[in-house]
Amino acid sequence: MLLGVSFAVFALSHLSGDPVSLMVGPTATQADIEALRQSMNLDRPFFMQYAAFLGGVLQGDFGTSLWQHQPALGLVLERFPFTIQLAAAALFLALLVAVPLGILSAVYRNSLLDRLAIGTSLVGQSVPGFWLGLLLILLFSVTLRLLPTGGSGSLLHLILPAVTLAAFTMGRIARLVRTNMLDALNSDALRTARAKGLREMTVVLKHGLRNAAIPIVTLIGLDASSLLGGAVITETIFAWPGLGRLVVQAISQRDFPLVQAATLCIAVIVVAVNLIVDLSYSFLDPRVSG
Amino acid sequence: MTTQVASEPRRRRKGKVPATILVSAFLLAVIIVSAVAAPFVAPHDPLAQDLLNRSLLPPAFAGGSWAYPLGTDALGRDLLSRIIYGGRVSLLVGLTATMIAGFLGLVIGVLAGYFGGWLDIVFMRVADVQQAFPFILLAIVVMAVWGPGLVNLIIVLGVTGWVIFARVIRSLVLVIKDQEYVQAAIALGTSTRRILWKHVLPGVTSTLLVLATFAFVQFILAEAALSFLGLGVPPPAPTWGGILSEGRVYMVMAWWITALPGVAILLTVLTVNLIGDWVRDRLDPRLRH
Repeated sequence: MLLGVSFAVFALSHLSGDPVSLMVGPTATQADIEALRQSMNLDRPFFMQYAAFLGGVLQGDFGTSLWQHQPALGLVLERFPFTIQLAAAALFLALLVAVPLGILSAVYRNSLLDRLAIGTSLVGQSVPGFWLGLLLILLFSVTLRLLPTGGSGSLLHLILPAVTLAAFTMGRIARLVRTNMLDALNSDALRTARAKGLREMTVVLKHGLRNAAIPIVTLIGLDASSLLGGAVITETIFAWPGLGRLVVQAISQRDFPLVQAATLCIAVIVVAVNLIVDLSYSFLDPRVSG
Repeated sequence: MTTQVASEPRRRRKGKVPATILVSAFLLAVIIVSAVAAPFVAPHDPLAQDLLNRSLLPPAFAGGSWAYPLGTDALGRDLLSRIIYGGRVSLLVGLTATMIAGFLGLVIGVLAGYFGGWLDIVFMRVADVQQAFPFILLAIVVMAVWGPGLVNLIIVLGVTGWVIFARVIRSLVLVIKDQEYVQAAIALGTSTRRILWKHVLPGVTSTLLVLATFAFVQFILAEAALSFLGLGVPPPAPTWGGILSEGRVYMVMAWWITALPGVAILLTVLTVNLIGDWVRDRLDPRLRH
């Protein structure tokens, strides 16, 4: 799996045919180009280059950033915690709002609250992240002067980017919780639980929520990818020093070793999250094993 | 547009259409018609500049002039006209990319599902690898390498968007192939081509349509995000993401340049999502998630 990912990353930056022509300035002579090509081993066959790249990656060598003149891996690892922080905050926020909202709208089905919740979820899923981010800056930073427009350093800096990034996932989770709770509330198991005389609150939270747990975790696995993708845009808007902003910066600097390293790192996070999700199934549902 | 076609015969059978869907369909129709008929609908030339007299006029409802209903940008260009013309790009990109992704996904999904074997293994491995990359990140990197442009954008979105189509259609084909009538057709010696056309393809059409609405929405958002980052369709061609990105500089003085194109994106995506959800519940409740 990771082998395939590394190959994809490598092939991506060779899509243009020749990374050198993208890197040199317009004044470079043919001789300069040849020299650079040889120094980067680009005169060797494609698969030899890939083998060299992979060999380097396995030893922790992702090449040198052309823009910062530092090892690309170091730059990536420096940014890595910021992206994790932002994505985790967004996910936490999404769950914090979406799960109670989903439960309430399932319990009070077709009520005004339910309708409002569904409407908000749909809007959250449909709103372009970068636009939402800009509007939040306009409202909370420029007009109300409550929160910083960008950068990092304090919890206050984290609020706007996290809200922006959470919107999409929040909508998805709320709707998912609602449909699963509806199924659960009508199931025989819950009818039994009610018949036993358990309080409605206990019935809903203990039995209903357990049924919704697996789909929620599955969705988190599926959304890890879109959450990190959204982070690319969100980080750019809020000048959040994470991996996504690094990719965008590296691209505008035509720094392909850095793009490779950062992209590979993001893909590894996605694979890792999905692995954790797969493993968590057996904890959530004893019927699933292995 | 595809969703409307799909919902038409259903309406007669089911009788009642919720008000939300009617409103959504109407709004979407307005957006589509104004984009298609942009030269007739737009009050001004979207590229006509007037730096001296019209720069940064606010919208009419915020104290501007009705000659420029949604105000103007820093170069004195009419915002409403730019948004209407921008819709052309967004809808064109969304629609063509959806068609490419849908076609690729359909072919790969049917091949992988029906024939199985090494073909299936290879395609699903590739899908696994591709899904490790956030869709938008992949598009950003490829656009950066290829350079901005309308055709590049359509190809990149279309080619990177096949995975969801292929996965869902593959699993559906696996189910269809196991059905008794298909097994009977195979046993009777019906040609593979005939089985694919007569049994498999009709079985996946409704799912394909539903998936298409969701892909379309994703592509519209991706186009806007890429144009916003300067990796989509290059200026001066107006695009929703592009207008927004230009307006960002003047955000504090002229909120409308940033806010209003986003409303257009939101309305398009929201109405297609609503209609898509509704069609899905009618046609194929299994796809609920």
